[in-house]
Amino acid sequence: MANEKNTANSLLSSLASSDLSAKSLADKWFAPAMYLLGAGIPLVLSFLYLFTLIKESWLAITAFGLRLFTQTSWDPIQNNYGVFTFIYGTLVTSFIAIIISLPLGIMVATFVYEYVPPNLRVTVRNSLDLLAGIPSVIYGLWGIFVLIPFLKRSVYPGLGVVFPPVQSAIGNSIFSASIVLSIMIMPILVSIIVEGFDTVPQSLREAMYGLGATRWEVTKHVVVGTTKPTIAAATLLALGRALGETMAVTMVIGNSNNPPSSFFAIFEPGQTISSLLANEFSEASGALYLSTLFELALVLLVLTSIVNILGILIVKRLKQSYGGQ
Amino acid sequence: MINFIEPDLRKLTGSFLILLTILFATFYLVSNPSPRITLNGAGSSFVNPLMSSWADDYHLLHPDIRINYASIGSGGGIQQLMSKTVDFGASDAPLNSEEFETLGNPLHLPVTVGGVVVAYNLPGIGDGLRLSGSVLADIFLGKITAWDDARIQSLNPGLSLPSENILVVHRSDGSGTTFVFSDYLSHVSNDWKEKVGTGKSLSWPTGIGGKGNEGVTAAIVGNEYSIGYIELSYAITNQLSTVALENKAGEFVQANSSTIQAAVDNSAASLPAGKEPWENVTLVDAPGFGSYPISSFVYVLIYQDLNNLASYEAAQTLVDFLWYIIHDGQALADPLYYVPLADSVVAINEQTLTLVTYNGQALEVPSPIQK
Repeated sequence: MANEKNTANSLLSSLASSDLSAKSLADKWFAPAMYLLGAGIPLVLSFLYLFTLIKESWLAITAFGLRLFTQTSWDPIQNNYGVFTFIYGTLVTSFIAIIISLPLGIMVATFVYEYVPPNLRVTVRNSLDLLAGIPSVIYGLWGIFVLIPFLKRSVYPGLGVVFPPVQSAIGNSIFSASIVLSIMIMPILVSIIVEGFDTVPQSLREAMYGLGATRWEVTKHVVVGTTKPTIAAATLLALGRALGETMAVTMVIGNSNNPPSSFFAIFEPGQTISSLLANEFSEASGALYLSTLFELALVLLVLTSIVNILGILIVKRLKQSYGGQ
Repeated sequence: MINFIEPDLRKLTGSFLILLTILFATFYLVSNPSPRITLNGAGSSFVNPLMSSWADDYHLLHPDIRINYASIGSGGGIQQLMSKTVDFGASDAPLNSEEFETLGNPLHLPVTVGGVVVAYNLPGIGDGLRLSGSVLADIFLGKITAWDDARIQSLNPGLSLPSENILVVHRSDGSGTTFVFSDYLSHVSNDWKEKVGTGKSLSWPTGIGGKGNEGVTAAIVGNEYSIGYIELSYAITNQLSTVALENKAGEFVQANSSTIQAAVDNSAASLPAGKEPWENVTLVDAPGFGSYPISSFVYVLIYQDLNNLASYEAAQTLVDFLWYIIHDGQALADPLYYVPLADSVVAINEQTLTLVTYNGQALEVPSPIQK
C-alpha cells in the first residue's frame, strides 16, 4: 500500500514539474515504438517461421501432394512416405487425454474453489502450480517406470477379461501416452478454470443461496455454468499443449511407425508427429527425407492453428450466449 | 492466487545486477584459459564415450589444444561436415555414393571397431541363446512370432523355450547401429534385403522403438520375452543376455574383443585406401573361424584439403590428433569395450594421413612406425 502511494505521488509530481515539450516528444516516439515492437516482433517471427517451413517442405509437397496423408508406409530407404499413422497418433492421444482430464479437471477445480478446507487452500493451489511446472521428461520417466508396469500388472489382466485384445498388450501404447498426457495437461486446465471461477460475482452466488439452492446446485449452475467460455478456452489451451508434447509421449508410446490395425487400436504401440520429428530429425539425410520431415512440422503447425482458431470461435460463441461474463 | 506483493523495483534491479556480476565472475574464474587451437567434430553417438576419452586425454597432453565433439548421430555428423560447420565428422556407416560425391571425395579413417549384439530378456533362460542369421531376420520381419517356434527350438535343443510372443525392440531414431544391424540382416536374408533393406532409419515391419541405445536397453530390461539389438558396451554394463550368433563358418559366436578382432582380421585384406569410396566396406557376416558376424568400423571423415579449417596450424593439429587416435589412443579402447585397430588398418590410416593438405600445402606426418 505504501509503495503504491509513493509511486502515485512521484508520478503526479513528475507530471506537474516536467517540461511539456520534452514530454510530448517522448510520448510521440513511445507509442509507435511500442506498436512496432509489440506487433512487429511476433508478426515477423511468425512469418519467418512459416516461410522457412513452407520453403523447406516444398520439395515434399510437390513430390507427394495429398497422397502423403493417406499412405501409411514410412520408408526412408525407398523414400516413400505416408503420415497417416502420425496424424492418427497425434489426434487420438490428445483427444483421449482431453476426454480423461476435462471432467477430472473440472471436478478438481470445483474442489479447490468450493470445497477445500480453508487452511489447506493455499497448499493445494501452490501444489497445482508446482505440478504444472514439472518438466515433461520427468513425466516420461514416471510413465516408463511406474505407469506402464502398473498397467501391465494390475490393469490389463483384469481389463483383458472384458476386452480380450488388452490381455496381450504391451505397456507402450497410445493408451499409456494418453494417460501421461492427461496428467500433464490437468494442472493447466485446473489453474485456468479456477481463475475463471474466481471471476464469478459473489452476488450471483448469494442470490442463488437466497433462493434456497443447495451448495451443489449453486456450483453446478452458477459457478460451472457461467464459466463455460473459460472452460472452453482452458480446454483448447490444454489441447494445444497435448498436440505438441514430445518428450513424455516419445518415451511411452512405443514408437511404432506401422499403421493402426483398426480405428480403436489404442492399446497398440503408435507414433505421434512431434515424437517422430524428435526421433528422426537430427539423423535425417537426403533432400526428400528432410523435406518430408519439414512438411510434417508444417502439418503440426496447421493442426495446432486450426485448434486455436476453433477455440477462439467457440469461446466467442459461448461468451455471446452467456451474456459476456 | 496468493497475495501479490508489489516488488520494490530498485532493490530488485540492484540484486539482479549483483547476481549477474557474481555469475559472470564465477564463469570467468573457473573457465580454463582460452585454448590456442580448438577443433570441432560431430557425429556418431556410438563412439562418443571413446571420442570424449580421446579428447580429454589429448587435452591433458596438450593443454593449449581443445577438441570438442558433439554426439548428434552419424547422419548429423555427415550433414555438419557437408555444411563445413565442423572440422571432422564421425560415422558408423561409411558414406554412400551420393554423400561421397556431394562431399567431394573426403577421406575415411576407421578409428575403432565395435560390435552390435542381439540382447534378449527371457526369464529362466540364461545367456547364449543360439540363433542363425536367417532366423534372426525372420524374427525381425515378424515371420517368427513365438519363442518356442520350431526353428528356434531346433537350434537350441537343450533349452525349454516358453510359448510367449516375441517382442521385437528396434531403434526409433536414425542410427548407425541400425545401419550395421540391417546391413547384416540384408547379407543373411534376401527377404530382409527386399522388404526392408539397409539404412539408418528403416520401415520396421514389427516391434516397438526405443530412442538411442539407452532406450532399446531400457525396453529390453523392462519387457519380458523381448529381443533387440544394441552396442556391445550397453549389454555388458546392463548385464543383458546376448545371442550366440551363427557366423559364416557355421560356429555360434558371442561378441567380445577377440571375436570382433577376428572379424576385422578376416576382412582386412579387402579394405580400400583412405581416399577411395568405402561404401562397400563391411565387416558384417565376416568369413573365417571365430569371427563375430555383426562388427563394424567407426569412421572419422575429413576433407582431403583442410581449407575448411581456420589455419595451417589448426590443420596440422587435426592431423596430429588423428595420428594420436590411431596409435596411442587405441590403448583407451579396451576399458570402454571398444576393439583396438589391427596393425593392417593402422597402416592404411597412416598412408591416408600423408595425403592430407592445407590449401595445397602438405602437412607433417610422423614416419610410419617400423615393425
